[in-house]
Amino acid sequence: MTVLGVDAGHRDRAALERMILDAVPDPILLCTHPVRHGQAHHAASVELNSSTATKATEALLAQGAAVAKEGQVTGPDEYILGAGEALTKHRREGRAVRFPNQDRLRGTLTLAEAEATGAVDRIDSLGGPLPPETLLATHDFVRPTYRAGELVLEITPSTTGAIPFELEHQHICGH
Amino acid sequence: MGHHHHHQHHHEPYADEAVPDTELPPGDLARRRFLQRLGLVGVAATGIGMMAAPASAGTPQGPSAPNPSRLRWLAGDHHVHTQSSYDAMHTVAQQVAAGREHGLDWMVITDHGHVAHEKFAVEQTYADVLAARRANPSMLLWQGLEWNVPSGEHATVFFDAARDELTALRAFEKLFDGNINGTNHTSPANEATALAGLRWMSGQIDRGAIDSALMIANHPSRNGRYSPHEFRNLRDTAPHIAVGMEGSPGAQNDGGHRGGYGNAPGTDSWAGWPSESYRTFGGFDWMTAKLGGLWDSMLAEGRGWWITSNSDIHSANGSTLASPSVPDGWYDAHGRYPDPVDTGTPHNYADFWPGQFSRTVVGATSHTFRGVMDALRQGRVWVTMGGLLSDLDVRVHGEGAGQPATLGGRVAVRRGADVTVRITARLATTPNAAGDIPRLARLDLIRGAVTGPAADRDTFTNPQVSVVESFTPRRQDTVVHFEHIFRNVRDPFYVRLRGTDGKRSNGLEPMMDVQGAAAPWDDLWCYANPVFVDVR
Repeated sequence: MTVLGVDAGHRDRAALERMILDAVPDPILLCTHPVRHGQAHHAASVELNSSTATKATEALLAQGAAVAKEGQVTGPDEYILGAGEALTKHRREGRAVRFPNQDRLRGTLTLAEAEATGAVDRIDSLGGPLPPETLLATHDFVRPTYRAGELVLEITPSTTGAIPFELEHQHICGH
Repeated sequence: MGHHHHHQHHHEPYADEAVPDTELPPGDLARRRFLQRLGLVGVAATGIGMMAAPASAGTPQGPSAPNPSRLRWLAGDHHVHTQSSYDAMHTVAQQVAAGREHGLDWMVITDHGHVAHEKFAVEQTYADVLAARRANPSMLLWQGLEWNVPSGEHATVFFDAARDELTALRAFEKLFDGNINGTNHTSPANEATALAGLRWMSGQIDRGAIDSALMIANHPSRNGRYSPHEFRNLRDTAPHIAVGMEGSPGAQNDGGHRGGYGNAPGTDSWAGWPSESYRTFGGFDWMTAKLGGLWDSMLAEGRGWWITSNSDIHSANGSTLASPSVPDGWYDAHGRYPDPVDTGTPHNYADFWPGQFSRTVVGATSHTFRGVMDALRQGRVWVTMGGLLSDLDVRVHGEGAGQPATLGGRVAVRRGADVTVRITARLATTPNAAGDIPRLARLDLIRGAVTGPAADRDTFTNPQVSVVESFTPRRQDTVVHFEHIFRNVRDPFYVRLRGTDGKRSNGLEPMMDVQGAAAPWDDLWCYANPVFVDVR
């Protein structure tokens, strides 16, 4: 198993995710990390089978990314720092796009069932405690975040029970 | 105690009383004179204690503080879009007619900064504004701008200019709007551009091109884009212009999330905000609603940072109007849409008309443009949703301190003195726009410690904040009087008020709004800006 830190200066986080998943179609764990030096953008850390690491690294470098691996960083100067940071933050901070047992957190399930999947370490209800039988509508989109090394799914109250804090469709424009 | 040095780091020299007039560059002297005229900067060291001395913001209780009995409380809305915004549709005339119907005395038109808006729409909108003023002579109507603050979020910007209302506004949009000059994204360089925009406005005042200017940050937590240090930098760069933030966002009827607050941190968000800050609480932005949170952290510095409440109207819920159908690229080519069309059937939209749900009520010394702007600048402001409060009068009497202070003001007392807060509130007696007569269940008096300039410019907590008393109106009362006495006052503090219909609270605190509920009328809150108590 190998971990890569990747930065190609993406302001579009979804595009960063696509670039990584093109190079690493089946990662063990893929997280995005905000980068705040210079112009704000996103980097990623990706955990993959060691046998595929070399090929993935080459593919990412070919996309113009900097790639950090075990203390070594290759790629464009401006992204070296971000790639190194992402590697350092892996499994400590960051937002998980792909993670083990993710496919069990689908559809609508109770909070108790969601916890029992083991896909996340903890579920945090941001609006105050909710009973374990509360229905969580995942809409098949969950992006838990690492908080001090624990993978936490944050949820908020909805008329049907609860929904994940991060939704697939947000409205950024307007107003 | 290194106090002066501290100031020179954080404040402009012209706002620092420790810097004598003779050491100021010529432009800065004019700035200082302007601030002095507004009562925002003292003339010299006053001998008042440290907490009263940093008077570069806030409103020292001095010659400029008006007698609370003589104020006229005027309701308004500083966040209104028209057909000249790329995502809105109503005409100026429709907005003003609605504002009038809902009892507003003042309104600010704030179409989005945009290349096409600046190029094509500013003059046309102004013609509409002039016509609306003629048709509604009692309405104080500004043409302002919703500024895309470089590196930040949106903000209301508006000027007072008796002679030439447009030139400076349009120049500002062209020079400093993040949509126009490509400085929207978060970066240190763009943060500096935002501050340059404030200095530019200040310079226009010095040159006499405009009489005054205000900037108020809009929907501050919606995308987590304003950081605490950005607020502090804005405030310290131009305390006479950057005066506060929306306490509650518009779009209160959004069927998804109240206020349209349904996002998670994005590319340009400040990483320090907790996730809960991206949601509203009782319809208010977390920065205001969170007890001991960002707002209290700003106030802990003993300086003004005021809140407001607006419609942010783009499309009015229940209106039968709809956007006209236009060819692709219409807005970019015109900066403005044709008038909306009447479809004959009411639509579900996210927004309320100006004054229909939220209002910002300011204590003005006169029913004039200047009167309203001075009131906003000096924090004589309370806000309410759904007509929960009709009137609010807050007087803070310091033992031996002379004239009482009202919202936004300050009293200075000797250590050990008593401070008395007297509140008179007129409750709703007529139905609000939803047809209900809301009932104030509780008015919380909140006390926060003033601890001086923040050592960490990104701090967003003030742990020394609490509800010191909750007042409960008796069932039959329509006018209520409350009093609280702080005895033997030893340290500087501020008091502020918060009220609710009591339908949704967790203990005394507002609750996170529920996605999909869209029931703003069933969870009403009001807030008042603080009064500072300085201790000599």
